[in-house]
Amino acid sequence: VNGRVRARPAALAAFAAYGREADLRIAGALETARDAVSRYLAGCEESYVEDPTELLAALDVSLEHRLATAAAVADLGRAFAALDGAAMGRAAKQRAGAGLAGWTVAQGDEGGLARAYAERSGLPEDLTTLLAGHHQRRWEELLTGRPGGRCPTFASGDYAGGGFLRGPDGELYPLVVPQVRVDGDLRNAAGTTLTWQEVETLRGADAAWFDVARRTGTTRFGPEPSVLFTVLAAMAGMNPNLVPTTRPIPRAAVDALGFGERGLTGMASVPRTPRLEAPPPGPPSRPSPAPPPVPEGPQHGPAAPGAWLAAPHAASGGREGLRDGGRRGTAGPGHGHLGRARAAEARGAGVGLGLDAIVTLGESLSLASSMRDHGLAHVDVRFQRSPDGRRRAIARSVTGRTGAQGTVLLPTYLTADGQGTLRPVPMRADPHLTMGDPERPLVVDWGQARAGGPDPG
Amino acid sequence: MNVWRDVQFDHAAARSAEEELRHLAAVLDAMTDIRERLSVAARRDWEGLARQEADAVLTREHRAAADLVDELNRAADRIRLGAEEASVEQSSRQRRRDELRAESVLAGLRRGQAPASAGVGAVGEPAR
Repeated sequence: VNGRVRARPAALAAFAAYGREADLRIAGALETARDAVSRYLAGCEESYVEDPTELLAALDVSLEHRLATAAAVADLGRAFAALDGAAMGRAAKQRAGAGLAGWTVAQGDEGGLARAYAERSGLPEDLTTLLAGHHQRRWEELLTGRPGGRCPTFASGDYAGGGFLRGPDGELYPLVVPQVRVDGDLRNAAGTTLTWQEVETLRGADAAWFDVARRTGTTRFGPEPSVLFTVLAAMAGMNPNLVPTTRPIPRAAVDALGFGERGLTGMASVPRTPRLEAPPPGPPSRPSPAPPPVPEGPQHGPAAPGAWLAAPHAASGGREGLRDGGRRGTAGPGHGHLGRARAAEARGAGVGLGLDAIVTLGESLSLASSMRDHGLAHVDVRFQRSPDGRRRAIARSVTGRTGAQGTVLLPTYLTADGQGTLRPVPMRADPHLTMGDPERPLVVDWGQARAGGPDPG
Repeated sequence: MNVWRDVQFDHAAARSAEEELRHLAAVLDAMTDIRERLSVAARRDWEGLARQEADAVLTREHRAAADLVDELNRAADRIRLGAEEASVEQSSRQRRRDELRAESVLAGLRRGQAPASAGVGAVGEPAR
């Protein structure tokens, strides 16, 4: 190894996106098989039964490895793209001259790649890559830290939410929305009468949580793009004038929400991909100088080159791997990725196509991403554990609109619905919060919740 | 073994489990094939330490998938075999019941009794 690195970012992105899609289809078939096996085991005498439960658990572990690998490769693809910012420009030029066949190689050195990877792996551009399905029973088990546990409730509040995020340690963390009871009404956000600490500890009733990791930055949530949209976006990507830029939310506005002691860091908007403009003359330049998100918690990027894909496997350890808080290779109920996989199957995108089409679409994914600014949000995710073995993830998100009347912030929690898709849940607080310059006020819009918006849970 | 007791075996559930395991094996095989082809494309022109790791990891994952495909199919085979054994055992018990009832009738005739009347079965047979 001479320290030089090179790769085709689009090819890595294609592997990550469509490999993941393929794995989720397997997960769907696995869940169906698990149900069928359960009925079979319940209806047959033991002496004539073949019990494949352990085998299905092994496949589940294997799928988690594969999904972790896909996520790591996606991070690497982004790191390579960032390493050689001119690559995307050259790709655009190739497309203009030779259709969509162009595959651009990005290159640099190991150190630069490690730095780019560490910067890019703080929070994925697409938060759904951390999403790991939806299963209510498993959600409750992880939140309570014991098999068969039910969602804890306290006189002062309880938890709503659903779905899981995969933490940097490779484990699943149930996405929760803490709710505090105030005068018989449930609130889930700090206002002038509650602090964030009061909300998240349910007014002290459930206080023994500590951060395992924290990820903040600009990301996306919501449905994944359809194939049609992706193709259209790729076509639009040929014209850089159609690629909008992301408007930053004022830092002060976000700090006013009080997300953490220092507020959200890295709130300056980060373009998801370099704009597709013709490369400037001269040597390749680095990408946009916009500051990357700065994670506040422990970093999980590689400390040194050479540990790119190994970590998820080390965390799980193969078929006898450690998972789910220490149980080895067991097949507890509710593992798997049912909702997500079913949703993927329903979409039927990508994997049925020929390889060339897959690769081309994979390349276009990165182009399409720059068009989805409307789905961008600033997100603060905290992965937490308790001394008694419980886990939870709290994902707070804020989007903003800045207009002539001032800045309106729309704060939400992120959780997953029954189909395993990330959804924003309005934050509910009282009273209404308005501050800043009277001429250009900063308004935190809790209105959706007050107007009877969808309740979490 | 109580010959008067039916073998508890839900054949429909067993068939379903067998089919779903075979389907799962087929999906795993097909999707892994797609993943392998994507990985070939991804590794083209990819150089560096991460590439070396990717080679090792992807090879390991795809080999594990191939093993799992085989094991899933074997598990499906064993479920079918178990169902066949359960059917054979059920038939065997049925035959044995018929034999015991016949023996009971013969024994009654030898003792000069009339053939077993309704509700009177062989020794050990539950009342009907």
